[in-house]
Amino acid sequence: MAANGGRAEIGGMKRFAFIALLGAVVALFAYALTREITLASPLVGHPAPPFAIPYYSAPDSNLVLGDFHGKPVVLNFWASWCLSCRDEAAILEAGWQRYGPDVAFMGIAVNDREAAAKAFIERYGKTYLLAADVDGSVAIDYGLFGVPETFFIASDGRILSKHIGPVSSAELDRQIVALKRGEVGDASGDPASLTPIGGGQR
Amino acid sequence: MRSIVFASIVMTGLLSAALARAAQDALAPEERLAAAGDGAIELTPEQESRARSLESEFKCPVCRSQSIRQSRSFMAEDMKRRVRELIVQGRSDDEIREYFIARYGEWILLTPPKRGFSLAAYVLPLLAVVAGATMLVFAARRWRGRDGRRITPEPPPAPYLERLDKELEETE
Repeated sequence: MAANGGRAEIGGMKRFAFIALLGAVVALFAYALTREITLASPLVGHPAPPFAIPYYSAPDSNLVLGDFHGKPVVLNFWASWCLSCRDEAAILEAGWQRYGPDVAFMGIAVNDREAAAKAFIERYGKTYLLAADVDGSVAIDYGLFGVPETFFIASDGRILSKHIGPVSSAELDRQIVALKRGEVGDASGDPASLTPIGGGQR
Repeated sequence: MRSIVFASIVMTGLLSAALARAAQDALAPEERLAAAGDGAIELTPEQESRARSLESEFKCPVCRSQSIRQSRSFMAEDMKRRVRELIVQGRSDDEIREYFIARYGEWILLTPPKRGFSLAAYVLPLLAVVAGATMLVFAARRWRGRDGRRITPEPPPAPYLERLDKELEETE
């Protein structure tokens, strides 16, 4: 009888060990998958990569990030072919009207035809600083996975946070408050709402 | 039912039209090459070999399951050009790896580094093999019996044996 009791106890321990092992494996996979989709940028907390790219309004002159040192910057990557960029176009323009010129708003179009980008700018009444990253070099420098992505850069030139996907009005307000305070954040947003850059095959 | 089918057809049509329009608005491959200065970067055979090897190490941010060497997406093409530019600038392989890791994190490496959380990718399979082998040993010992001797089945009852002998004799 005692032997039966001991055997039952060993069986219970085995079952517990198996469930614990299974739980650990599931937790490990869950962590790995979560880590994969947050797409947190290692650039956060570091100086924003410099760039000098042509303005849409004046192609002979360049939008130079370094010229805005001493001012907080909202840097948005977009494209006219990106459907979710349409969701945030009016929100960014409203943000510029509200927070500019104390906060600089910049929009960089990635892999876009000039005519299509200009039509998009006109359609959504964008009036902030807009430039073209035609060869995709700025996109790589900022570690872009898709568009839209928005970086919040402090007045000292450090990237304080990054938003993935279309930014909402409330999120923009929250990020700008943090930006003015100089608080370092991390990636926010939804990676599923990103449009891949040139996902099409050649 | 008919209205659902109709609505599905309309939605599919609208989505296809939007995607086709989006494809028109993005730059064509030749336009991107022109914008990047023809994209032709002259490399020595040794540099070319280094470039190909490095391109196989980095994950394409668009395709994610392919290296930038395998992928034909625009993003991968831009990254390959950047690898070649950095080689021409005289950067070492480690410096080029650091360049991409500084922007995309270790996510960009197709083969996870042997440290931190990624170490689990190397250690777990070994642990699984050891655990499996241990379980097999225990199972084999149980099959052989607790005292290590082979378990022999109980002989069938005498009436069955007698009947078997009788039937065998009849057959012969």
